[in-house]
Amino acid sequence: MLSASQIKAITTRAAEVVRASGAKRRVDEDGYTRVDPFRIAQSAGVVVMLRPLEKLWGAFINEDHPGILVNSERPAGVIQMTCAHELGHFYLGHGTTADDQLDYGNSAARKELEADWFAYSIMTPRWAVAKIMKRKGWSVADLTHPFNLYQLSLRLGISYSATAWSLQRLKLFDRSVVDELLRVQPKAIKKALLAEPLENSQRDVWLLDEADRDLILEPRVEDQMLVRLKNHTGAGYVWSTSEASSEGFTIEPVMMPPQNATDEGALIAGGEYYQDYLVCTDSLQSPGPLQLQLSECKPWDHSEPPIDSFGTRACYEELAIGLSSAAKEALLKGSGQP
Amino acid sequence: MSETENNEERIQIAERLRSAREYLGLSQAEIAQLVGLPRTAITGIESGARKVEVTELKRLSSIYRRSVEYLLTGSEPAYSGPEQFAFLARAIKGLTQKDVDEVARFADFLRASKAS
Repeated sequence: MLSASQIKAITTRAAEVVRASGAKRRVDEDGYTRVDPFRIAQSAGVVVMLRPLEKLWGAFINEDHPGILVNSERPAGVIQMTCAHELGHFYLGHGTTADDQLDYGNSAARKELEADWFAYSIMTPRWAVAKIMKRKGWSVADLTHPFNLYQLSLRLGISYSATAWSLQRLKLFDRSVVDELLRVQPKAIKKALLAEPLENSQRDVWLLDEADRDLILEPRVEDQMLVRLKNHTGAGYVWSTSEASSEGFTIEPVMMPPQNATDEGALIAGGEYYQDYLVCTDSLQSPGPLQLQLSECKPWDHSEPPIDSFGTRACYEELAIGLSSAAKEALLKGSGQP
Repeated sequence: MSETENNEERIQIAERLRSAREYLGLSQAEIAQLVGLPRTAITGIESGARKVEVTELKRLSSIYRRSVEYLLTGSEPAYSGPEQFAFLARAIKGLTQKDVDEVARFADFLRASKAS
């Protein structure tokens, strides 16, 4: 078990890394919602390679040139957290080491406990969690609802369970709250959001609402995105993608089975109600953030301005086998080392 | 050397070039951009239909971090190999040989960057 002063030293080091690598600026100024450990590695000259592995989750290899190997066959959140954990081994000066788990128990080797603390400190710094909570209007009590915790986890880029643990590490949750949350499987949350089951059960379901305007979200290709919008169908308005300013996205309303139609919050005063729209896209290959622009118009009367609009951006994350996208990008830009 | 042997050799070189590219997760278009060739040339090289020039081979060797000798003949220069990482297998219960090989292969890749 690490002492309070050891933990303090690691979180301080992690905060320095997040600031110096530009990861904090990316969130504060560019509109991203999370720290990207692949970019931190790239900025430090650490090559990250994703490969299908059997038992290992990841490894840190300390040759003349340091490198990180990550198992590509894990869910996105685990991949990010594994990369962050291996970065911990790098920044804390550990030698070559391999991991077949994360979230080591107190009896594990000190370097594993240190790397875990480092990983949580870079992926879930207090300011990043606070920023999302403020935007979404979530209190700590709101986060004890699995649906909110799951959406927080997507915005932080880590797994549902790691998000619960991170809030305990930040002393926002008691252990009992974490245990309660971990009894809910993300699978059940995803199922409740979609009218039909996910084709790939490792993929995620993002629920966007008005609080997600003007961000750069980082879903994985094949993730599903829902936008929950206030609907004025009664007055003849229909939500649609604005073709001119939306890059390859289309939307369609999600038809929920009748028993879900009376969900809490679905009905609001004045005959308006919220409807979830499934966002689909066909242009996944273009790099960089894509603009999603929706507007609520009268379909037969284009002279009338939209009654409402919603815009945000999505930067699809690849996590494909091979060099990390950050390393590939650097290689193709000709900046030498991948 | 007979025509058949020549062809066979070229196909083996093509295979090694393809698998070296795939290891990095680069597309044919991306490698074409890096080498400064049209994508069709890479397709040709990797199917054995087009001969690789020495200068191209050198460029590919530096990007893939595999020696020209390896790309041509398939014979590996003396790397330390997986036994160097046998300690990982002792540290982690149930670690498979495939995973140890992956670690060793990546370590080779990292080591080779010294030269480039």
